[in-house]
Amino acid sequence: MENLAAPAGLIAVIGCGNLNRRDDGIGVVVAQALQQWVQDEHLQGVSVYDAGTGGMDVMFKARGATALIMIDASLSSSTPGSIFKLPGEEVIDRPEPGYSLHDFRWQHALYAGRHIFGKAFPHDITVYLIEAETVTLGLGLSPRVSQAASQVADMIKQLIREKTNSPASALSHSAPSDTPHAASSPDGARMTVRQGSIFIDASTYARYFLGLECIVLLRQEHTLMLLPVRHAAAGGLLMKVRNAQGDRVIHAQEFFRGQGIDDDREWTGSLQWNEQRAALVTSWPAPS
Amino acid sequence: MAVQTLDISPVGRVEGDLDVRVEIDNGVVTNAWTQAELFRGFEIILRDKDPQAGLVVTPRACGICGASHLTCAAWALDTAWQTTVPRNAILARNLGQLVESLQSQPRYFYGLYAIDLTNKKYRGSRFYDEACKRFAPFTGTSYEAGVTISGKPVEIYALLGGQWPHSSYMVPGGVMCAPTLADITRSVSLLEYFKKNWLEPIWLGCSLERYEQIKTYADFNAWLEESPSHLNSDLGLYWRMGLDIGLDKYGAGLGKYVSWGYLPHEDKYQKPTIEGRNSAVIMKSGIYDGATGMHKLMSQEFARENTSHAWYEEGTGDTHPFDRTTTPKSKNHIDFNGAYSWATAVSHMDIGRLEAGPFARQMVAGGTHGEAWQHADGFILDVYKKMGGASLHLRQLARMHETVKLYRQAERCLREFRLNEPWYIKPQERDGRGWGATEAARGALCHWIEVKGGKIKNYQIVAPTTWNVGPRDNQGRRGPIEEALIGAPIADPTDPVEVGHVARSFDSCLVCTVHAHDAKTGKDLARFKIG
Repeated sequence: MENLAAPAGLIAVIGCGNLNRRDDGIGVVVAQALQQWVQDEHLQGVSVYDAGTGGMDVMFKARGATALIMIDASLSSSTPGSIFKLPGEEVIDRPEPGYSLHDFRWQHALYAGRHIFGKAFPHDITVYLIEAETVTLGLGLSPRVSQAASQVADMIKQLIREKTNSPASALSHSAPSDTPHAASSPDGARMTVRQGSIFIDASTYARYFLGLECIVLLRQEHTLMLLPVRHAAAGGLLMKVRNAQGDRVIHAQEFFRGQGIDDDREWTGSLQWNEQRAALVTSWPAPS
Repeated sequence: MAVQTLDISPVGRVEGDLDVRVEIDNGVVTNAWTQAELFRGFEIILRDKDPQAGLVVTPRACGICGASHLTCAAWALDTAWQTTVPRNAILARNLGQLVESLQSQPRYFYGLYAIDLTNKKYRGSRFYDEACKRFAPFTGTSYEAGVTISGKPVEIYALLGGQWPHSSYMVPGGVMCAPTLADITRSVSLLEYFKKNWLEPIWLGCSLERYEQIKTYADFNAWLEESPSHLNSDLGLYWRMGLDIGLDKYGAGLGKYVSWGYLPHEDKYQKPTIEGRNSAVIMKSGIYDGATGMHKLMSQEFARENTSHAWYEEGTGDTHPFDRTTTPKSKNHIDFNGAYSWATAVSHMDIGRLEAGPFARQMVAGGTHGEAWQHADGFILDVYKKMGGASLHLRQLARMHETVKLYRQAERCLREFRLNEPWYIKPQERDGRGWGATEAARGALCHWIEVKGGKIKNYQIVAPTTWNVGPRDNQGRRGPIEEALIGAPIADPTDPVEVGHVARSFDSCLVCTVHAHDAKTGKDLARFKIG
């Protein structure tokens, strides 16, 4: 149950490259190592993706995260195995029309993501580039680049630890407790109920439910609880995406009707994270 | 006026994807060469590897059709090893293929093709302002909606395969996944989301059921006029604007088409063989020859490759892929009279060069060949006949027409799963020859494998773009895109948008090349060096 206390992942780590072109695959190699690490350490709040040569898909994987870490090979005529760390602003690039969708690379996806998803797209972007030695057809990294890969993996682990431990960051391992903030939630998270559906905005979703698609609704006397569902087989109600910003809606007519609330009843409530219950809670509305 | 030669290389990268040379005489393209700079090379990587290496290596052949490669790699081994594949696994493979193709529809249309409609050349069109409003990159309303929705269908792929694009969940004997009821429920709602947020309201302007009533060009025109929501849907707007700006006047191509067929039926291909595939696929295979109006079944044994104008040391004769040696030349330069491409010229041994792709699929679907239970749909063939032949506009209509069918097939897979039945039957490894095929969003894809002594002796891939982007053959006959460029009117040689229309209408998918970040020099990067 311990895992349930933490809000869902807010750091996205994405490795890009082509494993069939030797050192070009370094981003993928680092990502795969970090996937294993995240799994072994039972880290919550960190999602690691092997995006391969997908390009555009990077924007969907980064969406909703507050921090993004990218890893790729570089071909800059620098010494092979050199490691570079750049802010995202240095590489984000508007795509020019090509003849094939392959021309749409991750740096274009970052541009597109910022334009289309706006606030729901991470502004804190760190890019690690590792200079390739050979990108001929073939499998496996060259020795110098392979060594750099493990260095970069260690650097990123450190960076993730810093980001997740910073008290100012929303990435804290422990969810905000409801006791000091009993009157109002720290970030003013709210929900609206209309026509038997619950509406929550993208930032609330990202903060408490990121990466999840289902919740369970539970009423306990004067409290309504929204419980994140982490296991796919556990069922629950879908948090459907409403728009490009990533706002969510949960159709819960049957639940509310069962609790004696008619479809035409409209109300809003402030949401707080309750650690003991591992749920977002709000007050049950007074009878109308 | 002298013939003008124009080299168009859309991307100034380390290695270009697709480069085009055209000769223009009096404002019309009179000759064309397409040049694929890239060498796939998987044939060489895979030589002497474990037979299952293809399952891991080939999905990375492409960042946008990894599922299609995986499908081919798995079926190729199934036929070589003579496996039994349970019905759930056939459905799960089909579903992976289908959602990848669904993903490609809006992504391709808005992300690659429709941007050209906002070119200043079309300022005179009465549809221009609306096209800019919808299709302009990053700011267009439909661009944004379409690109965003394209991420949804492959979430279903991730439920099956763990991740998209590069997963290896399909294996000989089945699939390495066992979706739960919750996965199926989620998949259903993801599909529904795709339909309710883009396919019906934005693309069609009507329900799928209404669209599915269209069987002929006359039906289509009646549908357009039936309601403003049809007329003003993205499909309605695109069709009308395309006619207005003359996209129906060029880009026809060879007029001969190929499809391997796809989606093996879950009850008919549990004992997969190369020979048995044609009568087991829901979407039938075939070729269509526009000159004779004849449909025939297609079979891998008819495929030939010719390397006369490609950078290989493999002679000038036609070779079946099982007999290829993949011997690349080194130190190549572009010689348009000699060798100028890494792509080979692929053909049917009797019918010659063929166009592959969604347009080809619809031309094949219009035939009465094949089995009665197989899918047939005469709509695009009817439009082809009524309009007097092919054009890049019709190629586009055909591509997008398939979306509703892909959607229905994906729905069907989700309905047909029996969650308590097996997903995998462990196969027996053995030597032999195998062949696996599918239809990627952009056309006919297949893998040939020969296993000998427990290792890969020969692995060959012919991709849709190999068919389409191939160079001239030993008789000097042009490839499909080269042929489609002939006759294109070039209004402004400094901005040949017409060449772009034709090239993009094939949705070329070349090998995924080096993706290393190359926009910065060592000097640019020096100040960011940390190790």
